[in-house]
Amino acid sequence: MPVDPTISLHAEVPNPLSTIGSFAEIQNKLNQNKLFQQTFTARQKAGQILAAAPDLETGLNQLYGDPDTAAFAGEISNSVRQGQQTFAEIGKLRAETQGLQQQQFETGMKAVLAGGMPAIINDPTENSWNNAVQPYLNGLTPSAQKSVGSAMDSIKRGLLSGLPSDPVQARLVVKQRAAALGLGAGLTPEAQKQISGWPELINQGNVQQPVIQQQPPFGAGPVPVGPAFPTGAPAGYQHGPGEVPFPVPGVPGSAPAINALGAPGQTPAAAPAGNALGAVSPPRPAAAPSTGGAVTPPTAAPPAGDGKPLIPPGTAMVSPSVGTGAGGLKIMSAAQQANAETLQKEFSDSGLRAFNNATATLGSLNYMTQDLDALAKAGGLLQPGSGAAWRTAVAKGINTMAEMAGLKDVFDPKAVSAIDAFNKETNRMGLTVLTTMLGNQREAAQTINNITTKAVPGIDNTFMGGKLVIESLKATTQRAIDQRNWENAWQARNQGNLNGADEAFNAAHPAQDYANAVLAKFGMTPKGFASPVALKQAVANGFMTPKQAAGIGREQFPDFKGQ
Amino acid sequence: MDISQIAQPASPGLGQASASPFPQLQMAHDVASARLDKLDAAGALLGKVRTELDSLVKMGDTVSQDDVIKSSGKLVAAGLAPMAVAGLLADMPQAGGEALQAWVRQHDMQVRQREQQLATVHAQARHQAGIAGMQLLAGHSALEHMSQMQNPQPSQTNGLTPGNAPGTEA
Repeated sequence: MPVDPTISLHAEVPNPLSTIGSFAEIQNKLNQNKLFQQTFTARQKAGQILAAAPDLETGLNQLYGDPDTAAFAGEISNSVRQGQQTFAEIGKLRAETQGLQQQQFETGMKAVLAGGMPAIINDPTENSWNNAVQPYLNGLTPSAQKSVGSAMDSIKRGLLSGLPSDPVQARLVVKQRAAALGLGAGLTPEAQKQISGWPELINQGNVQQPVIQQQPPFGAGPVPVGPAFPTGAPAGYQHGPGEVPFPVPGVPGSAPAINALGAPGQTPAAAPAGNALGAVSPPRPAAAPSTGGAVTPPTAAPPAGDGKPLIPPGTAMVSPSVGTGAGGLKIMSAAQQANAETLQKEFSDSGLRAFNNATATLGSLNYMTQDLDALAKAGGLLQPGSGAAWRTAVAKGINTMAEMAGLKDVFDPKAVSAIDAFNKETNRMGLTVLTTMLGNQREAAQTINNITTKAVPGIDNTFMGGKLVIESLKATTQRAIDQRNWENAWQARNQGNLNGADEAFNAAHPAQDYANAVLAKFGMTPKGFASPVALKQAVANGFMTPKQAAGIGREQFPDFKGQ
Repeated sequence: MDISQIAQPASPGLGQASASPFPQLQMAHDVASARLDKLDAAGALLGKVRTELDSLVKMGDTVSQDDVIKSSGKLVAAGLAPMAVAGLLADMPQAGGEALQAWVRQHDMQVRQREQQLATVHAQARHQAGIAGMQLLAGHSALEHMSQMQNPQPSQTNGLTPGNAPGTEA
């Protein structure tokens, strides 16, 4: 009969298996530490070998012949290739998009890894480096400029000093030196990607948006770079010689086809609204001959972001003029003509950029919303300890920097586990995204934000406050898209003349309506929650705690009990 | 070193070399940078020697003592120590022609060896300076991230954070 020793001896007897397990655990940790030290040493030695090698490939081969690096040569070679790939991809985007060239970096290391290094791998000159990192340095205090600037200068010299005069050779040497530097400084490919971000294409339906994907704390989510491009053209018409229209087929996988010319008798208001993803829809000419062929039935235009039809029935979309000439041509005064030319220039320059930004921004905001909702559903962000993955990523990022700097005691991830830190970061993240287009829509953004965030006092202390901020940003970007679509429709009706278009849009779609639509999603009005039920629903959705709801609810509904 | 202690508000600002938040990293960086400066200067001087030697080598056996002395003068003007140059000239053959040509070639070989040695040492110093720069920058960047976490920079929010009146910056 088995005897329980804890009964007979009145004492806990250590489980021998548990003791062995503890020893094994300690031994395992010792082995891990030893392996880490060996890897660290091997990477540093590999950096020296690569730095002294005549070229990168020879250097990588030499790793297999050195006793310190041979065991790690394969892994190190892979690291080098991955790092080079990241630099090359970012460098390619930098070369192709002006937006990335003007990127403002948050830290010096990011300025080097996402700006300076990719830039000189494309164009190995001091100018290229300086153009990439100087905006960051300019934002520092003079004393910080001195210290950080000297560190950056050493990196620049390490990469650019004594390059061959042949540009092709120079590029190869810079790549080799960058690889050696990364190895020597303890920069793993994962850390490099985390710091610099990495290019991706985000599929937004019928458009693809190039982005730099970023992880906290080096950035937050995808940052659009350059305009989105369509994955396929919808079926419609193009104009041939003599303005003769000819049908073109749609591209498989493209967005729902839109009849660019419109069916006879159809109101021409529907098509230019595009779609909810913000794809560019071809402007619809006022009169459309029916030619048969590949013309597809028109699809119903989605409503604008305030829930109303983009062009409400009965809207007069007519530019002011002084009369009508032969062939229905509108005659404008000199002032009207000058104004129309100014508006047309803005439409094709800054207006187009704002539209592209808005399209891309909306995609990012949708991603952000999905992520936040997923986090909320996965246990409720309001619970202590939830959202830890994200906050841990932040702490890990800082640790990466500290490790590269050779600091022993690094940041404790638990220090960022507070939910208020998360909320602050969420708000900052969303607002950073919107700054790309505030120049064009600042007033509307302020109006929308004012209404949505002031509807309920104290809402900003809750997770729902963060949600409202993001939704108000989405409404602002959607309004920019709606305005562009409106202007396209307006042009089609007024021989390209945009006089009066903005005023008419603001009258038809005031910013307040977009704010109200945002509030309605959360069961709110500008005066607060529509009902106690809406408040309880916010709790059920994980957007605020019952305690927060009780505090907010009592202000508005004196009898509110919270549950 | 404990980075959380470094990040205390009382710690000195970035860029003050004498009071750097990372004195060891700063010192390692300064040493590596100074070494590279020295080697750059040595390389520049050796480059000038190379230019003069190349012109003498090209002359073949037509090279004369006057040519050598003229080149030596240029090197002294470029910064080479006069005593060192005088030492080089001490064993110059009295006769010109092939003897002087052989002497020039001998010095050409010696300088070539020096160039190779310098190239190796310079590559190492350049690599070390780059690494020291990366490590110092990593330290500063860690501080920047921590600072951003502690102060989420309301001034960059364009007044749109909840609780702020639009257009006002906290």
